[in-house]
Order: sequence, then structure tokens, then C-alpha cells
Amino acid sequence: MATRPAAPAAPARSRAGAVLQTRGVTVDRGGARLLQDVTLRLGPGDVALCTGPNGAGKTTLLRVVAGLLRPTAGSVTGPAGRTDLIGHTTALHPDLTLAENLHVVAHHVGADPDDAVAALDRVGLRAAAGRRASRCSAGMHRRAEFARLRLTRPDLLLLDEPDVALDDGASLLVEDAIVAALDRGGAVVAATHAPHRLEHLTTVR
Amino acid sequence: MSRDVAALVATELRVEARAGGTLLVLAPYAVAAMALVALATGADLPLLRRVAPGLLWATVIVLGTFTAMRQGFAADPARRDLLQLLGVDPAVVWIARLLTSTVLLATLEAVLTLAAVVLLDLTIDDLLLHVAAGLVTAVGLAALGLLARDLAEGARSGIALAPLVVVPLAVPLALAPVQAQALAAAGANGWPWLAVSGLVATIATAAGIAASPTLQEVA
Repeated sequence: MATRPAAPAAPARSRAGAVLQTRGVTVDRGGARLLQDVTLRLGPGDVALCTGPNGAGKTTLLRVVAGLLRPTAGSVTGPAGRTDLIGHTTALHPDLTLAENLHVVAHHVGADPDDAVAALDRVGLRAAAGRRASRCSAGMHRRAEFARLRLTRPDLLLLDEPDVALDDGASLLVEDAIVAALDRGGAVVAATHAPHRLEHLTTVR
Repeated sequence: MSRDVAALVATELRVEARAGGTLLVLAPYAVAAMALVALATGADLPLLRRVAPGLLWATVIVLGTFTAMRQGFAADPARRDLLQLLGVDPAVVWIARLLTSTVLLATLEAVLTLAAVVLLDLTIDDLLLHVAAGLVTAVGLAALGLLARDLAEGARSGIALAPLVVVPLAVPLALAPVQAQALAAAGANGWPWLAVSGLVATIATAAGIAASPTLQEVA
């Protein structure tokens, strides 16, 4: 797996403190070594693109960085603020409407429930806000996940195959999410086994 | 913390109300099972009266285990990850799941008690004792079911076999309400039996809360 920092950050952003720092992260699970000695430092405004074939450990790295998986060895220091991860499986509950799903998020980040509908509006899902997730397409699920980012406003944004199920127009949501995170002085790690789809995103700053 | 628990319980109950797994599927199935027993014995009322308490609580334990192990909102790994990323304490999530299952199990017990009174001629000598025993059993079964589900998911053994672990551990939860009511019928004090089921409920609840961070990661 290759992890490479993207182009230098915009000068306006401070690079004094690290948003993300990993040192010698190694992950063993089920007798297999999934990650070995990964050291990475991202400052404000940095975007890292993780590439590699299936099973290279991209998702594992994101889960470790997100604090969802404890490394076997090494350390991870995340941002002082929030971290959010858009994974390749949806966190929406099928029996709740899109708005209700985001209401759960809004409650836990201290946002107003109306902000959830506004967030759906920004990703083109206002008309579907009252529709159960089970009756929405995979692309709509993906859009709703990106709407969530407008509530969580993460300092460290982790994207796992972010353009999966998104059409060409909706792919702009990925770019918007990255730009928003960088504008907050955050950093982004995006993982994909198809780097050509995301190459252009590393130049959005 | 209590606001987060309340919000999660409300979400879980909303999901359950729409899916209807307990009240629309499990409860009618359990009532049908009781009706079958009544028919199979030729509506032998003296026999049904004798077996009614045991049959009621055995049905609660066996079928209630599936309610205690239901999927719900927060049991799904992706949503657990989300809640962790949102900074929700794993213990808060576990308590919310426990309370939701307790509410559902208590409702199931109420429906089945009514069914047992009608179909099996169940007599309840001490209603307060029955309600209290039902609540303790609901908490205990909910805690055991959640623990078994989380451990089975972590062990990748599949949750299909988890009920086989829950039912033996839940024997005191069925025994206590039956024996307590039997003592009440004989004019004795049945309340001490609740200490037995209460002990199981307390141990399982404490274990679940203490292990919730680990269970969240392994699941």
C-alpha cells in the first residue's frame, strides 16, 4: 500500500501542529499482518491518498486512524476536534427516514434537528428527507453520508472509496467535503484501490 | 449522559415500532404456541393450571431471547462505529440497548401473561410480585441476550448459536417468578426468590457495561 502526502498546503493555513500523527503502526488480526510500521504525519491542509489493491490494508489504516481499531503496535495521535469516516458501508438505518438518521447525528453533535434537513438539502436530498433509507438508492445513501459531514464538521476527514455509487455530478460532493475540511484547518485521508478516480482531488486545495 | 441514553432509546423504539419484530411477529407466535399447548392437552384445565406458570416463563425466556438479541439501531457495526466517532460512550450505547430490550420484553411478558390467563387459566395470587418478577426477568434476559450477541459477533461464530448460550444462563430468570408466585399462592413470602433473578440481572448488566468498550471494538 502506498500512502503519499499530496501537494503542499495553502500558505494561509498554519502547519504548526499535526492534525494526524501515526508512529510505527502495526496491525495483526487473525494471525495475519494487515499493516506494518506505518508512520504518517498530516498537518492542517494536508490531503493523503492511500492506494493499493484489495486487501492492502487501506480500510484497516482508516479504522486505526479513526480510533475504531486498536493497533497491535505503534501510536496514533488524532486531532483535538472531531474525526469522521465515510466508509464503504452505510451507517443509515433502513427503517428510519434520511432525516431521522441525521437527527441522531445532530443530537450527538449538539446541532439543531433542522440542520439535518438543511444538510440533506445541500446534497440534493431535501425532497427525499422523509423517505425511509430502505427506499433510497445506494447513491442517495452515499449523498446522505456526505450530508452528515455538514453536521459533524470533522477536522480529520477519512474517506474510504468515497466516490462509490456516486454519479459524475454527485462526485462534486467529495470535492466539497474535502475543501470544507481543509478550510477548517483540517486534514483528509482518502483510500481507494482505483487512484485514478481520486487523483484530481489531491489538487483541490 | 441521560439525554443521550433517552435519545438512543427513542431511536431504537422507533425502529422497533416500524419493524414490528417483537409485537407483530414474536408475540402472536408465542400466543399461538400457548394455544397449541391448550389444544394438545384437550383443554384439560386442571393440567393447564398446573403447567401455566412454568409454560409462561419458559415461553418468555425461549422466545424473548430473540427480542433480546435483535438487530436494532446500535447493534449494526457501521452504526456502532458512527456512534463512537460521534463521541458517544460505549456504555451509554449499551445501556440504551438494554433499556430498549427491557421495555420490549416487559411488553412481551404482559401480552403473554394475558394470553396465559385466557388460554391456560393462569392464576396470579400476587400481582405486584408478578410485575416485579417480570421486570427483573426482563432486565436479566435483555442483558444476557446483548452480551451473547456481542460476544458471538466478536467471535465470528455467528449469532445463530448464541441463544443456546443464553437459555441455560437464563434458567434462574424463569425459575424465580414461578417459585415466587407458588409461595405467594401458599400464603408464604415469595419476594426472596427475586434476589435469585436479581443477582443474574445485576451480574449480566454490570458485565455488559464494564465490557462495552471492548465489545464495541471486537464486534
